[in-house]
Amino acid sequence: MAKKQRLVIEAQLDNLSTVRRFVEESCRIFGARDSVVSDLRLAVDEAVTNIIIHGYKKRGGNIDVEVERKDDALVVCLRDNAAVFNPATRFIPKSQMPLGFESPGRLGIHLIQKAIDDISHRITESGGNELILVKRNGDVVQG
Amino acid sequence: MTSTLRIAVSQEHGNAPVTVLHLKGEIDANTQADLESKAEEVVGTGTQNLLLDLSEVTYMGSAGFRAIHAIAGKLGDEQSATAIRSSHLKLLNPSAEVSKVIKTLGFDSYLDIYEDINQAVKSF
Repeated sequence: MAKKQRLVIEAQLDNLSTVRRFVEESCRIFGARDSVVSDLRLAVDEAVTNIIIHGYKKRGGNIDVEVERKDDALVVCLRDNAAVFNPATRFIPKSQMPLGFESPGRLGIHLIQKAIDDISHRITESGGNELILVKRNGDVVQG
Repeated sequence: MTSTLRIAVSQEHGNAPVTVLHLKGEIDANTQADLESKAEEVVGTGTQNLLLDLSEVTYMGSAGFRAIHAIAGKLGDEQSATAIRSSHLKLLNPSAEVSKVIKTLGFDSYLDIYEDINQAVKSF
């Protein structure tokens, strides 16, 4: 079994469905439970949407998506050459959760924060972004 | 592969006229505008009560909830957004996955959610 699955897409909103299918299929290859699949699919969809809309500002570019199994965790790595943006800096204090109906502007960040266990960001050598999303728990992966 | 959202419209009558949008497919940033424009279209023709049938929605991320927020505003619910439940916009039959996201975002404290269309229609 390959330890890493990779997809490169054009940064366009009509590719979001392709990204979600890829994450879903990769998670299943690695034996993830349904709840883990849906959490990672949601977090990646939100992160990639942010890259397309806010990073590339809908002007296009590439997004590299990798899904990897590391021990009992599933790790998704997103790389782009868009404007530098670290979603973790916009995370919402627990005291403000749930966001509720009055804050439609930060819903995607909220969902990423709730769906995954760990997030890290670094600026790549080319000046783009590398965003790592980790779903970690002892029971993430079956078998 | 492109996400698609099909929207069928039906009219129901309980205590008041209710327009039902039957949604089929995925609601993401690619299809958000389809939902908003269809809602705008029916509100523009006089709809005051809107029921979103989510029973065939297989995926809904934050874009779907931004659309719902915008639709509530079109129906005149905006002023009461922080304190009272919506009286003009309600949801029908979200999947377990969509329900989880609704709760995560706290939208369940604002929107009534029904499993039965007759009960939903009568509630307006």
